[in-house]
Amino acid sequence: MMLLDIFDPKAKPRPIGIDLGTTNSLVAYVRDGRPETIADCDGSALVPSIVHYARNGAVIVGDRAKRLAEAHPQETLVSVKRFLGRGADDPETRQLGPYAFLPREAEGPDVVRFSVHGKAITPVEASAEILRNLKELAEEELHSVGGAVITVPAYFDDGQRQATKDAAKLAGLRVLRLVNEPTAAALAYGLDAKRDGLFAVYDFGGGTFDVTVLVLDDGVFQVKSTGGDSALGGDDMDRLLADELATAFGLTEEVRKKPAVVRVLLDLARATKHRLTDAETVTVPNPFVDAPASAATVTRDRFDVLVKPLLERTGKACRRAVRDAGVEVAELDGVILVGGSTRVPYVRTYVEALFGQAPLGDIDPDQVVALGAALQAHQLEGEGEKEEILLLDVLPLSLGIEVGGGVVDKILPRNTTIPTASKSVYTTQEDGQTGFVLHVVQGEREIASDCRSLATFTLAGIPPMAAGMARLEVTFRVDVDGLLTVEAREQTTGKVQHVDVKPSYGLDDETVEKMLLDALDHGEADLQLRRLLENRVEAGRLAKATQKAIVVDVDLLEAGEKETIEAALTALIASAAGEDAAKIKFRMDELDAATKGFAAARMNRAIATAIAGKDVGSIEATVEAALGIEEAHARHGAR
Amino acid sequence: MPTPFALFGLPATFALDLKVLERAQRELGKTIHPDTASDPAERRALAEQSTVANEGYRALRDPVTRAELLFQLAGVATGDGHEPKPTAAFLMDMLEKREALAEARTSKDRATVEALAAEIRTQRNAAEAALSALFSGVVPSQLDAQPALVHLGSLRYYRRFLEEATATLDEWDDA
Repeated sequence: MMLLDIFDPKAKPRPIGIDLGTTNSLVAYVRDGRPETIADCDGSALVPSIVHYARNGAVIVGDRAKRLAEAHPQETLVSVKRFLGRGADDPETRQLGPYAFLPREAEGPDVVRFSVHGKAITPVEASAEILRNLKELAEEELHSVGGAVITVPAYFDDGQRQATKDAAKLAGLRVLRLVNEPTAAALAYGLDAKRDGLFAVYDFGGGTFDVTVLVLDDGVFQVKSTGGDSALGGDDMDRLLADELATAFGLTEEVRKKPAVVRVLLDLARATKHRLTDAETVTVPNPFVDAPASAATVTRDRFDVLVKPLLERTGKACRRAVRDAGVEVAELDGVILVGGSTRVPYVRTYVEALFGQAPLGDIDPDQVVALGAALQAHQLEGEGEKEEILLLDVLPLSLGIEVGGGVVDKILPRNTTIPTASKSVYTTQEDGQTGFVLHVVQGEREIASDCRSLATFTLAGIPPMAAGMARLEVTFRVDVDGLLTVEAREQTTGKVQHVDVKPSYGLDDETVEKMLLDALDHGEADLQLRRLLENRVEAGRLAKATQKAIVVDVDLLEAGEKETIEAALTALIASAAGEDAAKIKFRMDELDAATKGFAAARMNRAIATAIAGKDVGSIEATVEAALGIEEAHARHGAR
Repeated sequence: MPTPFALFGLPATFALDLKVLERAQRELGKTIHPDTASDPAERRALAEQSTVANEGYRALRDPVTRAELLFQLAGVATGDGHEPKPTAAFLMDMLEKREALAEARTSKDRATVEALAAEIRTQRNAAEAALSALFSGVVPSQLDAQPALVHLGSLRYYRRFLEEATATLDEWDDA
């Protein structure tokens, strides 16, 4: 059969699955109903995600590129996935490697550009080289490659997903679908063992940690929640162990900071980590000539102590994901291990204690994502017998818009099943306001400036109306590929504005993580700030309404009442300029008390006027207008 | 357009088993997920249907929006200006509990936050049980709307309170 295949010039295109990883990438396909990875001529399926650009224009990918990295640090791009979807001037990318960067082009898209041999290389282009290499690997095995399913971290946002898709296009691949890595892993497990139930996927890779809780039911993979700590991976273990070795070798602070020394220490640490998987004790000879100790000994117990804090961070993300899924740990039918870092024995012990059950580890954690991707590709385009499978995935981070006072109003919460849509109605805050500015943000924080800004657009040309009269309906729509569209409609005029939100660069893992961590760290500060901003908005409304009323109904004011109200007003306005939410609230209550008699008098007049006109509709309208002040009070009081 | 209840093949009633709803979502997903089609036009149409279904799923999951849907079916308006104002006693009680929650937050008093949340959860469960009873086996036109609206109003307050309490506990768990 295989011989026939080899000599068949018209081989049928076969769909493939690709795990485009930070450290390593793999390609897999389904053969005789079972997924398997494709190995290169050295027999290895893992292709290091490293791209070297030679002076003669040749591009080298994988193991050979890895060997060139030390001698050609600026011409060899490592961990390029971390640059995908980043802005040209993103300061964080400057710390990720010894690269030369080009500034942003005036006309071009806002992307990172490496300067290699005087040429600009983007992360999309470098990723495309890796994908092209994988495609060629697949072509050698299959002769003809069809569509591809490519996996992405569950936390990748629109921009990063788009960049991944662009890289695939550049590599000449037709993308059938982008699938989240943990979901792909679950697919491999679920179909392999025909298991149904509730599962957690613990995905601990080289640079990211992802956790997903999902239900497997008769071929449907329904994601309930996803979470993670995407600035956390095996690299962090290496760093801790490198420090430990440096201390044991007796290296001075000065020596251990040298880039070359750091490189050697990290490589030693990684090798030591790998050896500790089987050995209880590892002795590492000291490679540095002028250091006091000749060797360092690391026990597995010591290593476990070192990495424990890292594992506790994964534990937090897991507990949160389980909570978000609305389930209990005891309800889980299985825990799936993914990623190279789960080879560390202590990680397995920790996961077992965390979930109260031994994790499933029977599929190679380095390969399981690619195998799942192959299964999904086969499902979408493969020939022959197929299982009925379907993935129902979720939005990884909340989407919202900025409202009065810089507060975020969440329109679509994280973990909403996609595709989805949601509407919200807003109103004007100023009399005669003729436009709305809509600021679309993504993240979990309550304050807009702390979230990632996705887009800003204006809905203009609204006829002037009193504050609170215009009704702006905003619709968020997220399609099956995770892309967001926003539509705003002013309901009284029917004015519509429609925008595709395609961020020129997305949220990178670290930013997402940082935003999530910030949301945790500053949760309390956030709430206080939110209260302050809300109180400020309310205070502004109340002050405006009062100022208007004392002009319009000046004759209703008792002697001295105007002065009392104005004093309270001044105090309120002063407090609103300050930072003390409670003080603003206190001043609002004071103004409330100061205007009580006046408000009652206005109400009486409104009713009397309306009754004189004998128009019930206008009675209601007038009474409502007179109620203006009290309503503002009621609003802030009810919060 | 069918109601979310009809869409998922569920009876239009307040008492809803979330596990049953989830299963219904999976079953529906099998027939209307865009991945089940290859023709672009067909995929677009299915994507639209899936969007509607997922919106409906979200609305049914949340007791507040579920109740709002049921009122809508009964022709009863909800929201600002249509619902009876909460009694002064209720508002006072909520105000006091919120103050107690804020204090417990500041003093990092976990036991109090948990106790308050448990108390509100009990009240919420009672309100949900009351709504279940009011909506159970009733022809929409014969719905006793006023008491049901009062419970809906209470549910809004309970939801907000529990969100805050949960957020507080989450933060402490993570600290």
